[in-house]
Amino acid sequence: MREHQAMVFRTLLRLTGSREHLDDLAQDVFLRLYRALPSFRGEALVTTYLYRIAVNVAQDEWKRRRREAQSLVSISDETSGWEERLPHPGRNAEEQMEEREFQLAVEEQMQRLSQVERAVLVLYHQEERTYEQIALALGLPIGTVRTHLHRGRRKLREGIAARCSEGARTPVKEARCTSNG
Amino acid sequence: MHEQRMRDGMDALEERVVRALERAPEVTIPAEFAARVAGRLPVRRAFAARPARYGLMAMRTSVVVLVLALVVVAMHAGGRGMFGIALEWVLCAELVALAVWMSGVREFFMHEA
Repeated sequence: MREHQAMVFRTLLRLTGSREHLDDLAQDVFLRLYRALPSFRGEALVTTYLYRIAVNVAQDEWKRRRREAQSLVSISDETSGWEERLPHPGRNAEEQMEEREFQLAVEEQMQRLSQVERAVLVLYHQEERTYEQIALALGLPIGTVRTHLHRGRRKLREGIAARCSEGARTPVKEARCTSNG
Repeated sequence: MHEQRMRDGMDALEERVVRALERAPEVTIPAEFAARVAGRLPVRRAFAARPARYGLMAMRTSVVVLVLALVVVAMHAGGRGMFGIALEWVLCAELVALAVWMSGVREFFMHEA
């Protein structure tokens, strides 16, 4: 369990966009895995099982939030904002702030994607899973995984571009949005 | 010219988005997390599985039935025809086969499997 707990926490944090109840959700993932173990036939890796459970738990959390009619979690609230703690050694304050703002924008746009798009993006980019592994974890055909991945990235890019063009009309600020850091 | 600039800008943005996605969040896992989860796991009760040995019971019953059948056939030995003799031989053969099987050949074949 210790081997996989960091991965479960990371994935859940990215999928739910909040640190709120993160411990409870991770606990739920491992309890569900334990309950599913008798039916585990060793066809897939335990990590694939864990990803599937983590995605299901995150979806349940979204449903719970909707039921409770909570407003969409702001990425800048106290319980989230993991990106603010990212270390950027050797950069000046302005660059760090820009990077943080960009990361915030990405996280904010991530929460606007559909659950499956978000899951595919997180598993592919953050967890570095292959198309086959993602397809297995989410129970989707590989072609559908590819489609969700491209669509998700396109939506993110368009959302951020729109946000940049809304908030930054000046050429200098626009250049910051698209700069390579 | 303008289109090229736009395309370059979008490529750069795409690259930046991918970099942001690849950046895994730092998580703090509570020290007692594993212990807490372990404490919530339901205790599985161990149970002793006793072998049913239905096959052995069936064989013993068959031996008894065969012996009884042979006794009955023997009691009607007088004036029997070919059918009676054949029946007696068949019953005897079955009884011998069962006796051999139960005497230890069964264990030998089961261990081989």
